[in-house]
Amino acid sequence: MLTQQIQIADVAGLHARPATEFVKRAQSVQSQVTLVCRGREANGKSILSILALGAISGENLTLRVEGPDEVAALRMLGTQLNSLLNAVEEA
Amino acid sequence: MLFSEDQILMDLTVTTKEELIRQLVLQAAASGKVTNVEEVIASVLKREAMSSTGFGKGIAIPHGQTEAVLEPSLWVGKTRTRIEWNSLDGEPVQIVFLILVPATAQSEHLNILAQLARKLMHDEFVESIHSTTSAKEMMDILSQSIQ
Repeated sequence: MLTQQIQIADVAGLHARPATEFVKRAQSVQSQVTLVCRGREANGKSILSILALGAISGENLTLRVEGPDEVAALRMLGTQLNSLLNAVEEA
Repeated sequence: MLFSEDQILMDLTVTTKEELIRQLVLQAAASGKVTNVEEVIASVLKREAMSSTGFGKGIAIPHGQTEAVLEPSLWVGKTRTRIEWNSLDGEPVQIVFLILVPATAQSEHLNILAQLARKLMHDEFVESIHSTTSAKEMMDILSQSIQ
């Protein structure tokens, strides 16, 4: 099991568009993918589960990956999530 | 806070997402919560074009954020037949939750979305809203869920 901490810099928080992009990528890995925010866990392969977190700007997320391809999966998903949540985006 | 029976439109005969969004935005304008219908529709469609909000289970949650929206509000539309939405699960959509927020809103939209998502994760809830036939019935189910 591998984890990575990510702080949400995007003022819009973990909103639907980045969540959708993340889920599509998470569904491509074999490992189990979990996002944790305020102690609440979300299945990284389910868009509704991630949106249910309601993670807002400034909050910390833990990305947890567990499975046969966890090393590559964490690298890919961690990089993607950082990029999705730190990018300066239009609202 | 932001929900009443006149925010629910049932048995809509629309056949496209554009028509459905228009119906809901017109209702929002009639309630005085939107000042410019075309601007709001354009905002919702622009967002939808970036990435579909058809999140599966026959449900979409489009949203718009513009200065033409006066206060955060939620609008529900249920169509007579399912319409194409380019959903994540490939299935057409029959129930739409339209979230409208002012340009200055920060986390309101995310908060409404999170509340809806928490409910929609439960198949029993999804089945109950799919089986509703009246705005009153839909209102009763949703008012227990959205605060």
